[in-house]
Amino acid sequence: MAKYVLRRLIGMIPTWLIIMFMVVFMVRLIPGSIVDLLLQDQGGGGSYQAGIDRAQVEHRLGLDQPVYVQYVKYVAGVAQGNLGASLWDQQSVVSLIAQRVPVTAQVALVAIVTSVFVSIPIGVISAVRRDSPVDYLLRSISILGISVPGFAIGTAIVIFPTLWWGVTVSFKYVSFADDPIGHLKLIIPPAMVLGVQLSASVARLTRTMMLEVLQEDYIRTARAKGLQEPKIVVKHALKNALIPVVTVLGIQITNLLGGSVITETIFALPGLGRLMVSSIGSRDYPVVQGIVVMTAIFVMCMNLAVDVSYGYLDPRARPA
Amino acid sequence: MSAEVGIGQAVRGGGRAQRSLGSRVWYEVSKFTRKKPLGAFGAVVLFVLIGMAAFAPIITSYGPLQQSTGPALAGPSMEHLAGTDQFGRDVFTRIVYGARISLFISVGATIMAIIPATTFGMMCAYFRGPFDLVFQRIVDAFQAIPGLILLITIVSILGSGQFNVILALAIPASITGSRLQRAASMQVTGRDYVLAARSLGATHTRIIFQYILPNIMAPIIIVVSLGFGGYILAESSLSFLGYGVPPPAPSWGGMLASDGRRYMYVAPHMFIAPAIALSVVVFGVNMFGDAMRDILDPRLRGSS
Repeated sequence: MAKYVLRRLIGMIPTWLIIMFMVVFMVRLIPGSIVDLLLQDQGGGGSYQAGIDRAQVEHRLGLDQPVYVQYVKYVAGVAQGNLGASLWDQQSVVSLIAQRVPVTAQVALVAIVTSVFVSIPIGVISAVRRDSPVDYLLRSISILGISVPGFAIGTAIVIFPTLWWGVTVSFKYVSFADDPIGHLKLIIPPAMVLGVQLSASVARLTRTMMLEVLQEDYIRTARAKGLQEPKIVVKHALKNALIPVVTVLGIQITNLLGGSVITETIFALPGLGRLMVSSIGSRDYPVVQGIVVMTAIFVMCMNLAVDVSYGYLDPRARPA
Repeated sequence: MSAEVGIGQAVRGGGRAQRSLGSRVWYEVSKFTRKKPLGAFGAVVLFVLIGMAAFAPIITSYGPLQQSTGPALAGPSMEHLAGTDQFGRDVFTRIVYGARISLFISVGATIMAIIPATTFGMMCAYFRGPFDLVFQRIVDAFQAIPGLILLITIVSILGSGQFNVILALAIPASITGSRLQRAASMQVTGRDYVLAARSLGATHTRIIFQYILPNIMAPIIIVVSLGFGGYILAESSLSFLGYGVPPPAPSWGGMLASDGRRYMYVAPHMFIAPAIALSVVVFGVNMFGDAMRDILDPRLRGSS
């Protein structure tokens, strides 16, 4: 097992180099560079003087070097655990990310837990009662969940209570250390909304997999032995149906980090997603690169964890 | 697997060919409706969407950008079925014309994603070796970056606009989508008929497009029908973050995300109307896609 994990970790290196390549090049392809924005910020006009400033600024930020040199330097930095510093306020990217991670992680955790508790029962019931009104109803609800844009549900939850009942929701962010209950009150509702949305596709997959597994010979055997249906469904079918569901939950975490951009924007939570969008806007290359690279590492490790967990769920999938 | 079943079905379909085409189509449609009521509902929604896009000027008498058709921010009435917006534009009209944008974006992105995705997938499965190895690492890289973040970055590079939004949606999908087509092609490349074609000296191009492609049509159709709604939703998410189809175009995502949210307190209909249009269409398309998958995926057909 340890050998397998090690081999997979080494296998990640090329992918990781490609990601850094993509990020470094793509971020610089965005029209309007940081230098323009910085000069604008300092009130520098388009005069000859500005031309000198520009060269100085570019040199100071290391942007006068060819992109491939910047790439190699960046990779070397990352290998040493140095993600660079924000071009705007020179704060280290590692500490910027570290400040934002807790919020995003809490939202993601609550969302995933919500998603599992909502989706798996829905998927199982709708598979067991296939093509019945219950199945149609549950499937309609879960497909409706992925048919409404996330920001629309979020906005509706924020606005309609105010509109109809005059309830106002406060969005002043408080940290867990200052006010634990106030903090959780801010985190849990948006995370649950996100979780319910995620649950739609997991429920659909659970249903499909359950349908497939329920046709297997060992289910017929279990029925022939006279086992009770609930026991067959939970112990024999669900356990086997869950394997691909675990994969999708792994993939969901990637989507969650993307979806958190929207959730964090609506509910004014200071998480990674918002930092990412604002950094793209301000062309803060090191911050954008840092977030994408860290997210990608996290996602790849999650995928590995999912693959390793197969071994526990299904002895047949254990790496030889 | 899917190939044999497909052929079997074609043969059975051929047996019914003696009956007139009309009655055969009617037979298939009524069978589909009975077996997959939700899928049939989805098909109706799709038809309505296409109808709205095609006959927009007949359905409504206002123009999508025509201002002061009535009082601004007025609620729904007989003259304005879904009320008016801040410029007095008719919201219902904008939704009808918006069907064109939604259809254009989803069809455009689907076509622009599925053609390269299928080609790459087939090539990886057929050639294997270093090409496959390198390409799969690129797919890994694309999959490891959260989709929305990739979308924002690509739109920032390309600039805003309807066509650029399509391109931004299609680029990541054409890379990551190739994985499923690769898996499907892998099952086909080892088949006897492919080996036979190869030993007869068929060219690579001929084997890929004449022998592999027809046999992976089922997964292609499934991906297309399930991806369709996703593109409409993705456009609306982009609009929310300010990277969607720019105003004054009546894109549903844009109406919902910018004006709809801005005037929500005074004119909730500006939010609700596009939200319903968008959700019903995505819901219908997903339902239709689900039914298509149930029919085309041989593994799911057994018990029904």
